[in-house]
Amino acid sequence: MPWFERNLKFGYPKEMLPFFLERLEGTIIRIEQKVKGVDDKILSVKLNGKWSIKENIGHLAEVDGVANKRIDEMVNGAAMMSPAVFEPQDYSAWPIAKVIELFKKNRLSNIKKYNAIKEDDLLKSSQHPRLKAMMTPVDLAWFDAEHDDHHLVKINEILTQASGR
Amino acid sequence: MEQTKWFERKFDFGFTQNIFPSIIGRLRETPARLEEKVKTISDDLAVAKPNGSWSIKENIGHLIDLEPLWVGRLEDILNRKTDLRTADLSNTKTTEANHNQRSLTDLLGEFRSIRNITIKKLDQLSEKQIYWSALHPRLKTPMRTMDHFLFVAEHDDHHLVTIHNLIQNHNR
Repeated sequence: MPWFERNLKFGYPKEMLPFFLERLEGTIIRIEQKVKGVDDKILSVKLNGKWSIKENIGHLAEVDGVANKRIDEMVNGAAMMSPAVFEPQDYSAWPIAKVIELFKKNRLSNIKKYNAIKEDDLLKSSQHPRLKAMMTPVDLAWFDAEHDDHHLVKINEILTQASGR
Repeated sequence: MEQTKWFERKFDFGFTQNIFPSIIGRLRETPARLEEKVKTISDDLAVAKPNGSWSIKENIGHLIDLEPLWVGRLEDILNRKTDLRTADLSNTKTTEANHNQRSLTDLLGEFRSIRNITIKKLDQLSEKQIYWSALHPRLKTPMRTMDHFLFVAEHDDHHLVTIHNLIQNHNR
């Protein structure tokens, strides 16, 4: 299912944040395990012109860059969060270790930021520019965990198709 | 920070879109997340029971203990039963299993193995079967196959967070 077609409901209690952070952190090892020992050609291939595995991972790193900014905006009381503006690199040409390193750096930075938010600030919300829904930092953490899962499924599909598994 | 207790969790099973591939992905990779989390802990920490709580080994053992229930409930749905089988809410199996006597490697290996068997069953389901349902005995709500395994993925996360907290509190 295309990500933009997902129906998403927000309004999670702040006490759910630890579970969402656990998922966000878990994505690192999930990705590392998926690409371990996989030929670089498979990691870089763009099946039917779609994103390669490296591009999917690079995208998650970029999304984390956006999330990092959005967390600050919510905590600072912005009415609306910044739009998701990406500056994609040619990740397929990068070594996989470099792509994962970028993702890991951004992800750990976000988790650190989430953990530093004061409890009262977890209740603050801003409008998501595309969804037009109010989101708290807790909702954003869940949203990104679901988004991770979406791309992990995509990576699996590429692995299955490209390696004939 | 306070975190939601498992028996106080609220679940929204009202979604209609097929997100089963994402759910299977989460379930498939819990063993990797678990192994990563405990790979450097000491033997003492693995069996520590602060305030009488379950140890890290017992949390892992509990995930092993519950896998037959999850698969059994899948069978209930596939056999078109009206109700899902009940769980032992007092978790007697885990309390009496002596999981602390086993090695971490052994526990992690068994969990990975038993979870892989579950995943193979899930991979074979048709889209129609994903939407079949039966009544959950405690929540008193109809649960589709997809809901049931979302519930399991959330339960995995609950115990991953518990293990995370045991490690963090020990290291403070």
